[in-house]
Amino acid sequence: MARLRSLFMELFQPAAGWGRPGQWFFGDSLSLARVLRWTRRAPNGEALLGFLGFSRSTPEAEARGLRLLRQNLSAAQLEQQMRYGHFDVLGGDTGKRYRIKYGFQLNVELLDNRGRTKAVLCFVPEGSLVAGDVMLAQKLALELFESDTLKIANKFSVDYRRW
Amino acid sequence: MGVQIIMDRSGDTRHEFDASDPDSVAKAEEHFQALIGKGFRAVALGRNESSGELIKRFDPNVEETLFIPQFKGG
Repeated sequence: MARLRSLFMELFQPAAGWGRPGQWFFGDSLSLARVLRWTRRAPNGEALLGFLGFSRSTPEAEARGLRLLRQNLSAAQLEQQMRYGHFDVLGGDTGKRYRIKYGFQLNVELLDNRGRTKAVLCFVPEGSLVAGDVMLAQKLALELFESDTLKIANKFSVDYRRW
Repeated sequence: MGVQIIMDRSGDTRHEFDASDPDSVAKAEEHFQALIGKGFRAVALGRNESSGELIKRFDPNVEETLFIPQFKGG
């Protein structure tokens, strides 16, 4: 158990100076190599890579996706994304507030009126898209066809009273 | 000049068409219908803080149309 804990501590240590504030990265290349080897062997390797925040796309494709995302965020969303690594979206049908974080899966949160996470939603466009495209697609889905999106999304409720 | 932006593994693929050229418009419409037939949703991208508009019919006057693949629960 202690060995497992130390492996996880090593894997998920924050790398100072990398990327956006609040975003966690894999600590060292040895751990990263181990995880990537393991995920490639797994039958659902691509989904696992996505869950861990990796895609099989090239850095150029990732950059294109992020550029497209930034071109289509409102000024407030862009500032929030640059500062915190996530941005908020208002549902087009219900007016509910959602938070979209950097990632591919389980990266959308439904917020309550005090800004706390009420539920985590999981819905992704098909086709192994890059992260920027996934986040832009999620934003447009919630703003333009929220009800249809919520029918598809898997929801995981977060109840703070039980914590 | 109109552009159709299709989300894909490479980030996006773009097809430009000339709204004043009937052949170019016909090709763009064919492309639009093919993508909608595959389950993509078309969004006329907005300007100035607007998130855009979901469109179901081809409109050659839309400058930028973004095609989003259909969603699945994760």
